[in-house]
Amino acid sequence: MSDAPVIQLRAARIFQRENLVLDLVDLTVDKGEFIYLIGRTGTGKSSLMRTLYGDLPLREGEGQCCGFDLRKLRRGQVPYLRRKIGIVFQDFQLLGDRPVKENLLFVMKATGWTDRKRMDQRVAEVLEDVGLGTKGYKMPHELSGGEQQRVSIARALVNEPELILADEPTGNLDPETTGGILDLLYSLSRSGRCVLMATHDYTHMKKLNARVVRCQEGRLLEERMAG
Amino acid sequence: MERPYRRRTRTATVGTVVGIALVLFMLGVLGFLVLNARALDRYFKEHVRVDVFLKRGLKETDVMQFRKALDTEPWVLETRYVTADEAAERLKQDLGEDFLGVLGSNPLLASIELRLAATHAHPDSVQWVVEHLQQDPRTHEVAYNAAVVRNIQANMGKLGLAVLGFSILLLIIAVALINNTIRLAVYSQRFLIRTMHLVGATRWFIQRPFLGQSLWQGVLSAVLAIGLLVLTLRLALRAVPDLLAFTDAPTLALLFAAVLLLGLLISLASTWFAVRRYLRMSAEDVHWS
Repeated sequence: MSDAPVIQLRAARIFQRENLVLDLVDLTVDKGEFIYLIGRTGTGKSSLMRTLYGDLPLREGEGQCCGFDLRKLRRGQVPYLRRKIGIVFQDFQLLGDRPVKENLLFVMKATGWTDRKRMDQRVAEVLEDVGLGTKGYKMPHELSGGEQQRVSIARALVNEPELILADEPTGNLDPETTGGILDLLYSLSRSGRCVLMATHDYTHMKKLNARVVRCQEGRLLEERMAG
Repeated sequence: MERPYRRRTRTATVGTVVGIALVLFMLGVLGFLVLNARALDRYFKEHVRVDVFLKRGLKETDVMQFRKALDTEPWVLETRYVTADEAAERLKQDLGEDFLGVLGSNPLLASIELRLAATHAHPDSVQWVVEHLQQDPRTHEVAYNAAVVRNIQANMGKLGLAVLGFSILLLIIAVALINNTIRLAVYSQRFLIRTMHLVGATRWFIQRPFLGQSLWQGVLSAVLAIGLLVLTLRLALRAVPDLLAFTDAPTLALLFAAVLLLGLLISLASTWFAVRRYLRMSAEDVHWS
């Protein structure tokens, strides 16, 4: 693995349709960093993340994510960019029609895994990592919110991504569960992955010492946590 | 009970299949009508008759030679030699009295009756044929019913145009109906498609199962529609025994094959476009669509 930054944005302008939501964004994220992306709703946190995973085109400025040039990203490349990124959503985005294990296997089949034995092995590993070792056979609706979010984190981990983007992953969870999910995400950054997490839950944030970036009035501002 | 979770991703529901089958059935009936109209057109055109009256005193061998030459022409479907005696016999029957007895001799000429090929039943072609025949030294006179030829041309032209217009209209309706049915089925899966896309599945990987299902859906619908067509034809045959007079088995087979092909094509194309639509959408568009 090279030492190039995982994310590098220079003078990037982030648009949501025709509206400029973030201007002159400069952001460099290195391997193994854990970063909070904070700011009120509507300040562009999600738009920034969606730009990083190719759901919004980067129209002005420079941008690079996991080795992909975001300005020159073609539609056909998007799936391959997303395989390098694990995305965790506020609303989990699990496939509700199949059990947990099939949710993970689906991602693996979709991203080119073929060896069934290794697939099963990897599923067991990531479920163990998120503390759901015995729940692979359950349907998503049979799980609690926290457990569902753990499944979505497990799914994000399946392809050993360099970057994990978590868009308000605890937004739908109670405080106790939130603590557990945060610990889990934080532990991932210590194993060398980079975690960028959008949140407006400041109470839990303080417990973990991390870099903080704030979206405010159309700009991205660097803040240092008083740990 | 095997893999019960697969049930919900299924877009090929009974409703969709029946919906498509009914539309295909409608198209099949229309196709049958079109085939019959064409056969009818041909039937009329092949019954355009031209009488070539021969000069008096022509030898039998000359007549045979003339007839043989005519038989090889591409615009001739069939020839028949009518002797003067035969013509007199016909006329006698038509008139209902023995005019030979009145006249004392037979004034009628022997003739060759031509049936023209359907391709030459156009008024201009007939005109050309008649002129061509008139130049022959063995010909005394050529007669045909110009009004019939003109009528066939005019009426069949109108009929063909009407059938064509109606077919195009129905085809558009069929495509729209099937497309709508499939779009609705895919619409119900839009969040699934979105999620698949977000976790890094390629477009082809997401489309493949949908297309596979639509293939089955198309086959199933077409088989159902063809079954329905066969049943309908059988029932109709009881009421109208001459229904299949203009249609032969290979033509019917072709019609059924067309129904199958159309079912597959429309089903596949609709699914492809419907899935692609959601693959191109960003998150909020999927939610607000």
